[in-house]
Amino acid sequence: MPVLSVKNLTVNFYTRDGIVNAVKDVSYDVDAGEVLAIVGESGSGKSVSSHALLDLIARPPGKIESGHAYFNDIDLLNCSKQQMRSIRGNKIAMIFQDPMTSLNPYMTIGSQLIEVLTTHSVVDKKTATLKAAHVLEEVGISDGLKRLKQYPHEFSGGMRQRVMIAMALLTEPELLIADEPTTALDVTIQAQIFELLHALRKRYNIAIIFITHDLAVVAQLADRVLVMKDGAIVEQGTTAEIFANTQHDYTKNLLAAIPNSQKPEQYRYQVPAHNNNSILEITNLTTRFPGLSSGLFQKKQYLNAVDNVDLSLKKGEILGLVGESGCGKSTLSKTIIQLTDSHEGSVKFEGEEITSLDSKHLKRLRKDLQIIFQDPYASLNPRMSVYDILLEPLKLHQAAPKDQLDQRIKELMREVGLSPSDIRKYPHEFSGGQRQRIAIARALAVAPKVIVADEPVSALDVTIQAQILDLFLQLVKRRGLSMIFVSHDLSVIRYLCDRTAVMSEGKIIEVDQTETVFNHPKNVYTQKLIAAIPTEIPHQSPA
Amino acid sequence: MTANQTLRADTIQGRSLWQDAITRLRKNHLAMAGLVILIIMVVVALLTPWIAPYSYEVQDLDLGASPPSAAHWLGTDTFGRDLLTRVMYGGRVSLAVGFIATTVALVIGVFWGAIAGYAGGRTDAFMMRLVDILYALPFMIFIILLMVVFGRSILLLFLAIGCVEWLTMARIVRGQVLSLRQQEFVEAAVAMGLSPLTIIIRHIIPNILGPIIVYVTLTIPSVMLLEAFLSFLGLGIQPPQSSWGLLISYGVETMEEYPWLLLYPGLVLSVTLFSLNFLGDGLRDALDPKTSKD
Amino acid sequence: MLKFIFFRMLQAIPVLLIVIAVTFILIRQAPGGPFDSEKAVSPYVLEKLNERYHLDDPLYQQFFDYLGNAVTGDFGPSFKYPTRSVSEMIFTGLPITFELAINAMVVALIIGISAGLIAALRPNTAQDYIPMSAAMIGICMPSFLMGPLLVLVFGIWLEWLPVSGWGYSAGDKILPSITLGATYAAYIARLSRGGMLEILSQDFIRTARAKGIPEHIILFKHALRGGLLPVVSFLGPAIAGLLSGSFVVETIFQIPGLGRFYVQAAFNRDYTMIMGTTIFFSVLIILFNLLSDIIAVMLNPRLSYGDKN
Repeated sequence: MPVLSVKNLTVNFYTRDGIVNAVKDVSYDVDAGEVLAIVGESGSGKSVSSHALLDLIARPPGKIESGHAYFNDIDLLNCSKQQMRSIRGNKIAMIFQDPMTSLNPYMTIGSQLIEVLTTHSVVDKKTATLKAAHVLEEVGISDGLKRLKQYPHEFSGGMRQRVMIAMALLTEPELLIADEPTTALDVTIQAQIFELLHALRKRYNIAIIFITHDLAVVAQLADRVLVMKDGAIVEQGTTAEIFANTQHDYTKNLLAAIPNSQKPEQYRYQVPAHNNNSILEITNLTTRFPGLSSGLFQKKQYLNAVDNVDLSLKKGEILGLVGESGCGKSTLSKTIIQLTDSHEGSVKFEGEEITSLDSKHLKRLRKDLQIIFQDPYASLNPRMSVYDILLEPLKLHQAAPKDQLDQRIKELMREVGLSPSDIRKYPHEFSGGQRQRIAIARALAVAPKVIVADEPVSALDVTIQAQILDLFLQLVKRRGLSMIFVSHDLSVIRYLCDRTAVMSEGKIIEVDQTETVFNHPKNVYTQKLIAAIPTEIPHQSPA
Repeated sequence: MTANQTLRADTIQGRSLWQDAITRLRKNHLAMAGLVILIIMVVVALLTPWIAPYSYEVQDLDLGASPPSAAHWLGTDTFGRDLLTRVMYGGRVSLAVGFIATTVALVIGVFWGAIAGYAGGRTDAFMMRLVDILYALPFMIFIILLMVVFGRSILLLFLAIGCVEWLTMARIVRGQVLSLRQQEFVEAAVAMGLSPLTIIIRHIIPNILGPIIVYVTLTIPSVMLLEAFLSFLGLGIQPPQSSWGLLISYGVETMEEYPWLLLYPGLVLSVTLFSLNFLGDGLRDALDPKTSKD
Repeated sequence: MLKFIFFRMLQAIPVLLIVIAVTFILIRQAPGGPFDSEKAVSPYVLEKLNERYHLDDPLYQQFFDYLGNAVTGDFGPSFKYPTRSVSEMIFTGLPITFELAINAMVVALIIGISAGLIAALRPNTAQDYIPMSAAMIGICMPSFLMGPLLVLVFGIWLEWLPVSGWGYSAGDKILPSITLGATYAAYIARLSRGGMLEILSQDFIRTARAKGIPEHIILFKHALRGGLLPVVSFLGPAIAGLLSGSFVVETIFQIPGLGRFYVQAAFNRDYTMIMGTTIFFSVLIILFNLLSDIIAVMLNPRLSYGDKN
């Protein structure tokens, strides 16, 4: 007898621009104590279908057109408000993606935890407080009683997610819905949260619906898998079945899009005949930011975002720069191309020092060093058409004679896989992946020698990500580019980069050939990082 | 940058964000009504010397105050002067103060805020510190003081009001510029090698125009209110010129016996303020749908 | 936290000094004023003026004298009514204006916050449009228009309420308080609606719902504190506005408060009175702005304890 039985759920959104069919006739069961993973990219309806179960969809503009969701003989989609309120947070609990915004910043952790107990059971505040402190310890937050009096901003991201989990477990629910709970967390923290969920599931025998876009995560955690695309279920089965015996094309695409261990042979870096072919030589580079001064008259304290870094980039290679959030990798990459000022050290481009150039020489340098950013929605000026966006660098650096400008722009569009007939459109008329292509075209317009890519695929869906990564490979090879690729995603780095530099707290911990870093990491921190990567997909054959 | 002929032939016309905004604005009936009324008011004000039925000084003491009639659509005041004419002339003054003072505030505020926001660091801190200090000064009181001390010239009124309003404008502009400066497309422009001036003109200003337009539309009514307030107290516009505020103050004196002297100028002022506010709200919704009622 | 208060108070002092200095200089410059050296006065009067105001002393000396006196509460005698001192007149009118302002504030807060909350609960429905349209009226109809209209309707035509005075007849405080408070009620209604809508769309409200917390508790315990922050920040400027607004309301309703004294002083060119009142009002406004900032910080734990991240 399944704990939850969803039948024919259909949800629509009535927006200014028309009706959006977010969930189309979705049906599935969840058994007691099992972990069901719902996998999909953005727009697949995975989140909406789960939010609908607990009546958390904004109505309007959303509307549950039809369907049933049977939980313990109650149809969640057709029950009274009172029934729903007694189930929410009590029999069915939910945790969300962003622990930073999901906790009330104006209330202490304690009051947010205790109110769950006082709402759903008849306990006095004292008992509730003790229970809350106890559950906090269970999820790995020590010193529970003291922590209860603190506010959310006094906890780190991973800890906040633990607090959310604690909040969910207080009433020992039968079902836990976890909506992308680890997507916003670093990979090492992610691993810890998985362990926690594993342990708790065993202890409480909770059923878990785990929503994610990451198939690798699924392999580690789930018993059964549901794949969704555009609001409908395209495939479901046990984890083993999905990976070994994939039926649907979309699922096959998803699996194929997960970065294989290494890129195809043809794109790998060829060590040139003559050695010391560095196009960028970085020595003792340090970038400081003012820290928070604690006292009234204390001296200003500084934080070394980039701490004494030595690095080199060889011509034609893709160097990966990997680390967890806050390690300084973005700052380092921006300092290298002189977008951020360094305070000490030197950067040599093609043998020449570039850290203290005057504006005229700096402008000329900009032609050779370009950057691509993470957020495709923020990296293009929303008021300029694609034509204008691409025209700007061409005109500035006089990269083409006047009568060939249009021609050039169209060529650029084709090169990044976009249609030249779209050049008069505006950024908001394109998808995320397409906008990133436009950003790449803009970077390529002036024929640079080095491109820094700062987490360029992190904001994209996995299938789009694969396409963009392949685009990078083609461009690097065709144009003879050298690239610094910054990312927190280890599997992407492993796939794409020839060499990898691991960074932590402003320092380069380890730098070596990618395969060496991944297979035989020397540094303890690197080892921890590598160990935290969700285990390999069962059926993937080694490169 | 306009595309050339061949470009137009084989490319698809895009839909800019401004066009989206205008479409949304058109659907907002209240805002459109406000816009229409506003245009009518401005046109009437501009054409007043030619279309006013009477001269605003001519008195008809025999007639005295009379209620609305065919000859005098809004009635006459205690000196027999036609109210409609006085309201029209008063409108010229009130609207002029509104637009001109707002323009003063706009120019100063935008420059100040944009420079502070873009330069950042110490320049920003210094410039905004100055704004903070000035902001804390009780301006109403200062304007009154200025009016008392220096007599009541319209020019001074414009300047005084403009000097008060530029502060909020500067703050808004600086806030917008600061958040824009961190956007990646601005960083990309720097990485491309564009000069700071070009970046401000081509990348920053077009993206802050929205909030500026909204704020301007909402500043005009508050400036007009300020002028009316001062004139009502006798510290603003002086006779023989009139403004709506002054007319209202006369109307209050005789409101029991001749209520139309209060009601009509009051109605006209309120309707104008309504129109501007609805238009401003509509513009805000149209330009940034996220902050609207959705 | 204390550090914050200390610094803000420190910041207030130069502002105050500037206010006093500018006022002082402006008054001295007033053409046709007592300090206008071009005015022909008899030697006897001139001698008396010099004696009283030390006009022979250098300007900065006069300024410090004035400052010194001001700190002790001595603003000099009224220029128009030399038998009365400015401080005496200020303290006669102050309690009345204060009471008027408090009444208006209470009206504004009660009506404004309730209207805003009601509107925020059902956005884009009649429950939203009606209060917000009423609010728009409050914003577009200035006090000097609304006051007389209310007087006309309730005082003259219906004869329900008295039209002037303060404390003389029963209910004579009602119309002035409503007139003064109406515009602020409107602003507060809009601010609280906006603030609540913004908070109610946040993720943590969704979390609270997912926990099964009843809707009314979500509203009052989870949302209110953050949702009313814009209203709290508005209080400082609101007080400033109320004090200035009192000028008009007291004039319309013949209330013998400080505002009316100020307007009369402005007309009568009562320079010492103008100066004293200006400074006094300025102190009040600066104080209230400070208070409002402090309360805003207190309500937002992130700001007061500092973000550890």
